[in-house]
Amino acid sequence: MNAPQRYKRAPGYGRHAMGHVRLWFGDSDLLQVTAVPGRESYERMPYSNIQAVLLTPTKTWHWRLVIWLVLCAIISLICLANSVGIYEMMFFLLLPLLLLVIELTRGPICECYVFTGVERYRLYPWSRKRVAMRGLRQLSERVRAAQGATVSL
Amino acid sequence: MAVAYQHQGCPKCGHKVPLDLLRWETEHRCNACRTSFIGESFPALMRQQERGQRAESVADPSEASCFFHQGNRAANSCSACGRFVCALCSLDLPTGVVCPSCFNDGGLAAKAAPVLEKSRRIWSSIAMWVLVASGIFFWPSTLITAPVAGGMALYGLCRPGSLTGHGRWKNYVAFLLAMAVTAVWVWAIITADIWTWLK
Repeated sequence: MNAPQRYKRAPGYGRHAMGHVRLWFGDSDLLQVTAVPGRESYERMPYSNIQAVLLTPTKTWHWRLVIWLVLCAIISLICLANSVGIYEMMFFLLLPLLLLVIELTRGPICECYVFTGVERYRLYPWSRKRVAMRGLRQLSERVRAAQGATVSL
Repeated sequence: MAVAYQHQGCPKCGHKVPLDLLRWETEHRCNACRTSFIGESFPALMRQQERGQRAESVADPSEASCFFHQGNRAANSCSACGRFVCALCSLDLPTGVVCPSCFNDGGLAAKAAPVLEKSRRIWSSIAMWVLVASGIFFWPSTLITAPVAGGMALYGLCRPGSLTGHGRWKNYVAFLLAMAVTAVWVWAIITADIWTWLK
C-alpha cells in the first residue's frame, strides 16, 4: 500500500455557485479540489504526465474597470447636477470606488490550462495573472523535477 | 509506435495549438480566433506513448480465461473484485491490477487504488450546513438538528476526511458549535424559559 500523499496548498482561490475550488501541490501530482456542501471532488494531474501549461489573458478585467469607472462618472455627474454636498457625494461613490480599487489591486484576469497526454484541465483558482504566474512558476519547478529539463526546440 | 499527442485545441475555439512553441517570454496567437497565450512545454510532450499489451488466446480449455474475454488467457486477477483478467483488461495501477469494471466503478476502484478516488463525503461540511440552514430557516428545529450535527461531526472524525489531509479542525468546530446550541436548548428546557419564548 502506498503512503498517502502530502499536499501543500497552492496560491489562488476559485469560486463557483455552491462552493469553491482550490489547488494543492502533492508529491507526485497537482490536485484540483472542488468543494460543494458535503462533498469534495478531485482532479489529479500527475507531474510526469503534464505536457504543457498555458495562460491566456482575457478582456474581462478591462470591461470590469470600464463599468466601475463609468458608474463613478455617472454618480459624480448626477451629484454635481443636483448640487449634492461633498460628503454625500463621497458616500454614493464609496461602493463603486471600493470595487474599482479591489479590481485594480487584484490585477488582470486570465485563464490557465494544463495539458496532459489525454486531457485539458482548466485551473479555476488561477484566474488572476499575478497569482497564476506565481502558481505556474511553482508548478513548472515540480514538473521539471519530475520529468527532467525543459524542452528546447 | 504511437505519435506523441503534440497538438491540442485552443481553449477558446478548439483550433489546434502547437504546444511545443509555447514560451513565457513570447506571446503566441491562435490562427483561428487570434487569442493570445503564453506558456511552457515539458519533456512529456515529446515522449512516445506506450502501447497496450496484446492478450494471448487460451490454448488449453483447462486454462483460466479472462472474465470479459472468454477466448483470452488470464494474465492477472483484479485486486478489487478478484476476477481473472487478460493482458488487455489488466489496468496496472501503483497499488495493483484492477479490471475495467472496477476501474469504472469509483467505490471499488478507490478501495483498490486510492489514486482513483474521485470524490469524498465531508461530514464536517454536512454538519455545519445542517446546523446553519436549520438555524436560519426554522430555528426551533435546532433542538433536533444540533445533536444530529454533533453526531455527524464526531462520525466525520472516524471517517477519512479531505484527500488533502487538511481540515480535520472543521469537525471539532462543527461539534463544538452543535454542542453549544444543544447546551442552550438544555439550559432553556431546564429553566423552562423556552415555553415563554415559543409563546
